[in-house]
Amino acid sequence: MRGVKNEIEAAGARLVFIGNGNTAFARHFKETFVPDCEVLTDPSTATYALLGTRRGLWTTWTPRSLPATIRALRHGFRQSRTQGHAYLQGGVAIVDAIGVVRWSFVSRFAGDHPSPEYVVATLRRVIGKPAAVQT
Amino acid sequence: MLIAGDSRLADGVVLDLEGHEVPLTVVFQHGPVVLVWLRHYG
Repeated sequence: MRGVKNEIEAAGARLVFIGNGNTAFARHFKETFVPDCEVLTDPSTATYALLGTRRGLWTTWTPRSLPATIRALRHGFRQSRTQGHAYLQGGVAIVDAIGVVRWSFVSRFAGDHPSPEYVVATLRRVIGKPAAVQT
Repeated sequence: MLIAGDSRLADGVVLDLEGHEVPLTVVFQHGPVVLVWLRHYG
């Protein structure tokens, strides 16, 4: 997602990462992978629960994640020691300035995520439209 | 799962890199945000 940071900012938004380990892990992640991005952490995983992310052994160890694993390896990504919850999945949300979700995506299994280009296109589509607020 | 139009994320609180609590409302107040929840940092 960091690769489309400029496009996200050009669309009038910011890119913010939320992890689930301690602050030392978060600092290491920022320094190593996204030095120019905002990084926050949620060791309680309460915001993950709000988003509705999935968790469990079988969301990580599933044949469905194999293509994503192979794709990541081909692009040179190697997973290092897990820093955070091992069996918690992630997600993405576009949220406006008053805290209303305009679009969200919850990973069903490890490696299940929208393409950065799709997120940018969605951002351009949803920002600027009035929100239908649900509480 | 949160759907478009849901405002419950505004109840969330996270930590900055120094360990200070940051309400997500503070994160949102400067304009739209693409939030990415990571599986883990490794």
